[in-house]
Amino acid sequence: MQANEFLQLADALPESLILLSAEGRIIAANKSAVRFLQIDHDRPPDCFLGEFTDTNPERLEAVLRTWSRSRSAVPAALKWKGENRRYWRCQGFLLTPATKTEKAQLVLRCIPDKSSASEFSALNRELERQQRTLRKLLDSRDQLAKAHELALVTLHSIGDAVITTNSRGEVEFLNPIAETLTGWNTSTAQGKPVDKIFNIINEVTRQPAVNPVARCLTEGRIVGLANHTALIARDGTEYVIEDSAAPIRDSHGEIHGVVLVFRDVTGDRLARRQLEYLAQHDILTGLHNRHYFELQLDHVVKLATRERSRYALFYIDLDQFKAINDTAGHAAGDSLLTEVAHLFASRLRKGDILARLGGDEFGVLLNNLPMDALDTVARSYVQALEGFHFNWDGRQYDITPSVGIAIIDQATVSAAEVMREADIACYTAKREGRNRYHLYSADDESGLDALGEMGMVNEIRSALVNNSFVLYTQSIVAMATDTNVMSEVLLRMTTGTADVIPPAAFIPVAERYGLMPMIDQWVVRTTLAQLQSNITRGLDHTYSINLSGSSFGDSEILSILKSTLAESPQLARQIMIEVTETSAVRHIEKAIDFMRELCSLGIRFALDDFGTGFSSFAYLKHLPIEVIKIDGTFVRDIMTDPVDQAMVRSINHIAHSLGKKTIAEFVENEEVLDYLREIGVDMVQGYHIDRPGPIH
Amino acid sequence: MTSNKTEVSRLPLSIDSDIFLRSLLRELSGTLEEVVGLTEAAGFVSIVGQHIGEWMDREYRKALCAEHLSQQQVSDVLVDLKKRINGDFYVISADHDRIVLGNRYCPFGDKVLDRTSLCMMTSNVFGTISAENLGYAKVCLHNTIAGGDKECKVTIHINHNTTAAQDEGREYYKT
Repeated sequence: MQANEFLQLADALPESLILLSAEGRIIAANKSAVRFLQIDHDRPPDCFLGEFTDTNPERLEAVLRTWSRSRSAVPAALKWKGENRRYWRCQGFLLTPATKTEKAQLVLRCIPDKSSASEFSALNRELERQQRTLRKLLDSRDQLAKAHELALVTLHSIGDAVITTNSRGEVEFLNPIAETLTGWNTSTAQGKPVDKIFNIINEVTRQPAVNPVARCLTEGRIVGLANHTALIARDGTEYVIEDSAAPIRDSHGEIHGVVLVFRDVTGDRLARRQLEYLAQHDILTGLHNRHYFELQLDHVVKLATRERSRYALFYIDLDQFKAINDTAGHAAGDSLLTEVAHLFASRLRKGDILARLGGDEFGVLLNNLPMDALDTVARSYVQALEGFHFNWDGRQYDITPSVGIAIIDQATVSAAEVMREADIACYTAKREGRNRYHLYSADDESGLDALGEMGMVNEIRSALVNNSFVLYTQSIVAMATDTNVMSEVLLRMTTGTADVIPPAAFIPVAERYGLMPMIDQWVVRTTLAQLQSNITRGLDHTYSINLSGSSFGDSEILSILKSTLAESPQLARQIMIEVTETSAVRHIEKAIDFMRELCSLGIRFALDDFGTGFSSFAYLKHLPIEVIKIDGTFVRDIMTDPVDQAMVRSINHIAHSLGKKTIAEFVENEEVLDYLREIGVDMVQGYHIDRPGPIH
Repeated sequence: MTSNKTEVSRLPLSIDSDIFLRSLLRELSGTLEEVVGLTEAAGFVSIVGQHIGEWMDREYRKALCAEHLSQQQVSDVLVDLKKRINGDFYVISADHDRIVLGNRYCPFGDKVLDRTSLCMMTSNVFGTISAENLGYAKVCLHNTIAGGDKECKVTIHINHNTTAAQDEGREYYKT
């Protein structure tokens, strides 16, 4: 049969009919079959049945043979390609048998699988599918219930307060912490606008704060609370809070509500403020401390250079203070300093900064001071103490100040330089009779005599050349064994007149003139020689050496230590190096590198004068320190001053919790020793234990 | 326990491999007829019958060492194969145009009753063997035990002539 003859007969029939050769080549396909096969009706198909099925070729060949043999329709299970044809059934039969001239032709009839069996199977498949879906649904409902339960347990147990709202900003849920802080419970708060429940203000301005929920809903992003946000609870209690609001989105990204998470940081805020205060203030007088003052001075020096503005630095030293302190005692000295601080503070102009720089020294940084007003202002500081009589134990003491003035302008080189100039000017004021002020001039440098600063610089240089330094030691005793476990190495300088000069007289000058690294090198070299001498004498004793901050990373010191320890590695465990808290913190990165390098040689470190910096608690974790030396100013009056007691207890506790040993300095009597033993300090040092003496 | 087991194994039940297989076929064909209808069921059985016919044809040709079977051989094979499967076919008549066979016993036994789709097994086995060896066959099932007749009567036309054309049956061609 010709294709057109077949189509004339078959096109009108609704079923899909295909005329095939016995080999499976498609000769013609009626309209329905064209749709079924998705082929082009206008073109002769010229393709094979196999192209439309996934039935393997051998199986297809057998099917074709079965059809080729029978004039009756024989069904065949062909795996049709394509989802829409998958369930069609087909039957084939021989249309025209092969003759000598014509090849056999087959007709293939394709019908949708609508038999009762297929419907039953389809129903079965559909039921299975629905059961699977139902099982999944039930599983996810179980999982959802579990997740919900978990979320509720979490929300009830977490330490943060959580409020959730719907997309209109109405409260839906509060966890117990949120209920406590806001004073509202979930059942009464539900449905109310979040502003009513979460009533927040700016704790400084007292104005209502922008509610993060509304912003979160508008902007569709996580919104943090502004700084200084305070929550006003239902009963009026105020909490300082922190944290954020985040949108709750569904899987399509639609915002369904907001989760507001916050926590009470009132306690943290107070503690932080306290720490910030301690880091910047002198505890005794309440004035700013030296650390803060130097930062401000640095800032002002930069400003003066950049903006061509002018500032003044007053360096005030109290005359005769040492005499009062020595005769009436430290408590009297402290009280005097407090009163003097108040008197100086009363002279401050707006924008000026007053600080206690240490001991009886004060600094004033004066902002935009016209030169013609300099005398008046400087005089007012001298006059501040006129007529002031300090009374203690029935005795009256008078005290005067010497004020050194240095100008800070665009010619100023550095903060250190301006401090040095003010110091020299103060010294000049003292030399000219005290109770006066003096403005620094270059002539002051040449005017410094042998007892002045330049003279001291020359003395130091000479001592380095002539080996005029001497080492003293002071014992450090372990509380547990009551034995001398190490000695602190102390430096003294001798002069041509054989006087022994204490370090307080030359170390500040050496620091100002950059001589400390050379002094430290001398100390390290001499101590190592002493240790080697100890070995030859069969002595095994540890020395604790002080190093200044300017020697951190000093290659000469590293070289001395490395070469000595390379020869005698056993010496390492007999060396402890003391660095002061303030110098370590000021040069923290350098200090850490330096200390780690020396630690790798086996040398141990102690942090000296601990408690004076207040900024260093956090650094304790980072510095490789074995021992903390509690600053003597806290120890000295520990029996009478509850603040000092608290400080020493706290420092000792913190040190122990960080796995570090403690040494208390300035132990000057048995009572203090007993107290330190009671609170668990590990080692002690001071006049009651041992007085400094020449090393031997 | 042992005595119980023995008792069960000695029960006089008519269950054996042969009865089981025949029952199985009866149930399969019955289910097929009920579910897809008699015509479609017959179609499905046709496929099976053709495959069985091809297999048997190969076996006989191999055993007879013949490339093709003659008309006589075909006639003998059709009777023999049925005997081998417990049928009781015999030649009623045979000439150049047709072979007429009778059958007194169906290989499916009484399990064939009301299962006329199973007759497609005979039609296709006979049609396939006849067509593959003689070029053409039209198998006409005039009487069937399955349909309730006492005996089967099967005519196999081996020439495509007027008589064959007028007789009702299924045609088979050599492939």
